[in-house]
Amino acid sequence: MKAGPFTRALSYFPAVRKRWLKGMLCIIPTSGLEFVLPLIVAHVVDGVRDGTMHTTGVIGWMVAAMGITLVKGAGKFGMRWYITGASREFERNYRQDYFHHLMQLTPRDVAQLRTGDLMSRSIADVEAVRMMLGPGLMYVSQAAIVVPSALVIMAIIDPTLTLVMLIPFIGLATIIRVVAGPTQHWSEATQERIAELSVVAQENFSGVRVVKAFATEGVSASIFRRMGRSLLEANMRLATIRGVSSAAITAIKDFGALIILLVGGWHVVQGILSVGDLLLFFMILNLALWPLIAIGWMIGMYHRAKAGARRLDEVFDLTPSVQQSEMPVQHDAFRGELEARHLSFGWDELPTIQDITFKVPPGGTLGITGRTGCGKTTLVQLLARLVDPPPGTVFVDGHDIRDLPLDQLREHVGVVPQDTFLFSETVAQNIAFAGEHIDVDRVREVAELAKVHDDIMGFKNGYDELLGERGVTLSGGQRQRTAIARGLAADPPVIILDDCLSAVDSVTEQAILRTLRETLAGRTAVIVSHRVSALSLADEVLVMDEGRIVERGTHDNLVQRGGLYASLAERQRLEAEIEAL
Amino acid sequence: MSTVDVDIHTTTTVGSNADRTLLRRMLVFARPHVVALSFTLGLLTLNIGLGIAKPMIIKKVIDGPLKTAYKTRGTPEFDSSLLSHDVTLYALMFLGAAAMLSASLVLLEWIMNRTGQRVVFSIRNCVFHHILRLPVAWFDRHNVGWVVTRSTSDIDSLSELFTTGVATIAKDLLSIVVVISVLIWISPKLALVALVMLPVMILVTFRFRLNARMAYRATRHSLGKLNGFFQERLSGLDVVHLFRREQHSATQFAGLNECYYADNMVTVRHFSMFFPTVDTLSQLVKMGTLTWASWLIVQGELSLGSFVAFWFLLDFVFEPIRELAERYNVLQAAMAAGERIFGILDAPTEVGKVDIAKTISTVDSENEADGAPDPTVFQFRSAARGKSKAQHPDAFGPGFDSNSAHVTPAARAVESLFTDNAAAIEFDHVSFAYPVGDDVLSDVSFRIQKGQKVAVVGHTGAGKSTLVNLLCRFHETDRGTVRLGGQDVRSIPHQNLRRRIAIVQQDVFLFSQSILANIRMGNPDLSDERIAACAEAVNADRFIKTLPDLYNTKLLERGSNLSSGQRQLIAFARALAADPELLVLDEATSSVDSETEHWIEEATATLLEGRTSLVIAHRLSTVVRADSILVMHKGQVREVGTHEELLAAKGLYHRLYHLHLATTG
Repeated sequence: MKAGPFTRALSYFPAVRKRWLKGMLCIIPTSGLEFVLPLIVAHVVDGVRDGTMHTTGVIGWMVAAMGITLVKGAGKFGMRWYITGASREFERNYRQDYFHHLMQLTPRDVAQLRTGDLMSRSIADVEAVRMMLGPGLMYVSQAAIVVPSALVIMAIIDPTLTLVMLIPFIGLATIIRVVAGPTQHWSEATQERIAELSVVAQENFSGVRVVKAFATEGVSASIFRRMGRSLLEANMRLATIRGVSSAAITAIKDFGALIILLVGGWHVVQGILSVGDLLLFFMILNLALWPLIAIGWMIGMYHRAKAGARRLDEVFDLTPSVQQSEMPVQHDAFRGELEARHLSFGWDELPTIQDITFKVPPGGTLGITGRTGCGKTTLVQLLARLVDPPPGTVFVDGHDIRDLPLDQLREHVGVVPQDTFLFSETVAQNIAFAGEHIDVDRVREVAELAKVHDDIMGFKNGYDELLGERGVTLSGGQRQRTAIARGLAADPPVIILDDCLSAVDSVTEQAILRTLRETLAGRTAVIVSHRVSALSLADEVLVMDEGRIVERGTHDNLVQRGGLYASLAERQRLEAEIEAL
Repeated sequence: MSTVDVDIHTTTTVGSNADRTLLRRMLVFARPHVVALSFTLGLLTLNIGLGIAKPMIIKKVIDGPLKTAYKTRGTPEFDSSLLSHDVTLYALMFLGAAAMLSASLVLLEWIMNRTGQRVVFSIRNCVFHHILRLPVAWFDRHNVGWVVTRSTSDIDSLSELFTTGVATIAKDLLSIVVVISVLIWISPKLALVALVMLPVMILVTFRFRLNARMAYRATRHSLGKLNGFFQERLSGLDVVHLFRREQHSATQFAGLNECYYADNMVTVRHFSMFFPTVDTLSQLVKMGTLTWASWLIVQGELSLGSFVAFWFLLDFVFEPIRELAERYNVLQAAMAAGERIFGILDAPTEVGKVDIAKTISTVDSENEADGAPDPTVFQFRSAARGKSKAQHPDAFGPGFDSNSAHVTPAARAVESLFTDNAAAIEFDHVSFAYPVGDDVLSDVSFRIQKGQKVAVVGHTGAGKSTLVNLLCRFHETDRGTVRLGGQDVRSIPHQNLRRRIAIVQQDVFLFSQSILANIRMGNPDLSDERIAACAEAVNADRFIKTLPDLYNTKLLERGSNLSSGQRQLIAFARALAADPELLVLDEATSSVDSETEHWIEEATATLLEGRTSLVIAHRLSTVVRADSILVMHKGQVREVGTHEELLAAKGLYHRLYHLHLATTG
């Protein structure tokens, strides 16, 4: 089957079909009852005029009419409640799957899309599709019943008048068609110009120091003003279109009323039409014209929904670059041996990592160092399978990590990443991020290991303190130590520390390293660091440059050799000396 | 995130004292449009009048010619020519009224939007103008995203208030009063029945409005949480994967999503109830009216035409009530946005608190210049004003026009900051601390003579960048004085000061405009040739020539389509083109390939040639060539001297030098 623009969106429809159909069932009687009232009114007016109907008759009819009004009110409630409700449920499921899908993707997979963009798809685009399937279809269905019925009823009563009445109907339909295109064009233009304006604002506020340094506030303001003016123009175009079309719609309604008055009046005089039926025509005119206007909205809704569904499909169509092997190897007794064999890897054809080979025995510690941009972080991502290494290059306990079940791999290979991202939750929740099995005592234990416990006790709410905008802001060092605690909490047999002490002051660093030495005993560890003090814990240190291993050996060994590592050590000794002055 | 503070502010209700003050302040922006606004009100009144006229004409036709014709049909009295004459007359009147109504609608929509959009345009410019003049310290405290929201979305919320809000509220209120009067005039007895239900309708409507607003606020709140969670999980996606929390995150999201759904369903319930209820109520009113009317007609107390007119006019009462409830919400949102916007406008700029009315007139007076190419007009205007204002610094401070915006080189020489007898730069016992934390500079004193090249060296966090911030008045000293040419920097208007200093920052900020515009930085005196010459002098033309559109190549956000070395060179060209008296250079630490390194080194020499300069140096070549070196450590100047002198002294500089050698191998 060929996938249309709404194929995926519609796959969420069956789940809400029942609810939606209930609403649709409400539409039919409500739309029909719309005509009952005008018919009663016409009947009563004629009856009173002819003198065939007296007070009791009138009251009887009116009581019936009021009853029908109440029923119709209930029907209208049901129609909105069920259909809008169904559309909201649809929206919820659609968005849920969207998020679920996003969670499977890696940051590299969505690199071309900014977070703000992905977010607006989750809200605005899902909403656009919902609007079409909910209120959109509701109005269209109503129109589909009301307009033809109105024409039939009118034709039965007075065919000639009905024929003349087609003029305003056709006129209205024409206007709606004509206006739809420009309206869409200019509302898109308005949206674009608003976006441009916020880009200019964003840029000037971010670069405010440059703006101030060159004293170009005036120039920036005039650029901003010019863009504001172009937005104003687009808005005015839109306003003009809206003004003209609403005036045209009013004019057409009035024209319709005039036709009824003249032609209908003439027919009354001739005795073809009763006074009550004349009134009926007036009432039906109002009843039947607005669904046509609603169709105008529906056209816009449809286009927005189509664009929204397409944008959502763009994300749904991305396949996660890291996926569990179809036939994963079952491996239960983890020893914690980590090995890389001739590992080479590149982003976009450019080699970032070349021919890396090492083997860390269970319980061993490997140090990795090198300048910024030497490929350390990429190597860590490959070892943790955040990025897929080529087959047959990275092994845990002799198994290619690509063959291991992802859950198992992640459970056994823990990483404290360089980017210490913490969530706006409590400190305890952040540390226990790895799972519910981490209890309060464990949280406290690892916080002490990472030397962040005292900081946490200094917060007003201790471990229950919220992090982020509505809570405390942690210093760089505190963030790193919290992230270390989070990494340790899961207690993985293999742990990779990716430059995770860079923002910690040297005294605290020494303290953490002392405890880490104990904690890491019996655990396989990879320590990526710029600090010689951290690397000295390792059994073997790899020095990387431009993606290759340029030196390897023990700390003492490398210092004696007098290469890159030795100069790093020398530099840090001097730095410490200067710092102490 | 902006979604959070919406909830905090919307808790106020319109009508409180604070809101009235706010409303009055907002109306300041509408003041220049008084004529248009009164015209709008006139049109609205006409609109209501015409709306009432139409049913009244129908009444005339029914009660007049149609009635006569109906009664006399089939009798000799039936006069078809009189009938058609009368009917044609009324039809023309009706058509006339309808045509005028349509025309007034077009005009109304146009003028309301024109006025509203202009007011919003002026507010937006005013806010942008104000924000750019806020002190750097303010930007340190506020998140850029938050500021952008204030100057864009919040202003859009105001837009509805000024375009349709105020005018429509006036129209709706007027319409209710007038139409009710007309109804009573047509038939007091009938009106009595019709209006009995009116209080009920108003009650239902406003009750709904209250519920809907609460539900709406709850929805915004849960949407804010949903978005916040979404954004965080996405930003921390790697962490989520590392701890295999994809499924758990999805479950948490489902909870928030469910919450948003539930809140939406409350809103859905309110709306599903409201429209049918109001509809039903108004139909019940109509039924009651009809019953009563038929009785009156039979009694001969009411004509058929009057009844038809009455019937039509009833809608003119019900519609506005519904509309008013909607408007109230718009008003609420606008008030919340207005509050936040005024929060920004009340923040003191670099020259202190400013009067918004003055800013409006500044921004508005510039509106005239909009048609012409901006920079030229800018120059012309500033030249004209420069003369008269040079002696009297504008009390309003360094606005657009407070002083000569872009002076010619000749004029620049006259107004030189530096004199021969005072030190070019002098730090006199300067101390400074950022709002949170220890002193960054403590009791720093030094003097730099005109024409000297001074290098500042020191470890990270020694306070080097703070020197620059104080020199350019990005921040103000806590104690002590910074002088330029013997003049306290605090006595020099910000823009005058900064126009004489060119700063090249470590992390180069480029705008998403052409390379030409990035070098020109709005200075209209710079010809394209001069810009090209500057780019050539700093070796930037080498790579610019390889770009598809040469100097017109449009840069991406922050210049991300250039390498860091290339961005550096553009910044050099930009500084050279500004031809400053004082150059402040914060050398970049990011590594570049050796060829680019060579070009940058050469360009640095060109840039510093024959100029008073302060360089936060990271390159040995720059340090060695300096006339004097300031060695900073822990917020203090520890050593001063030339490279040789300092090396010989075997102090801090000596160690830093060896550290540098160790780093670069």
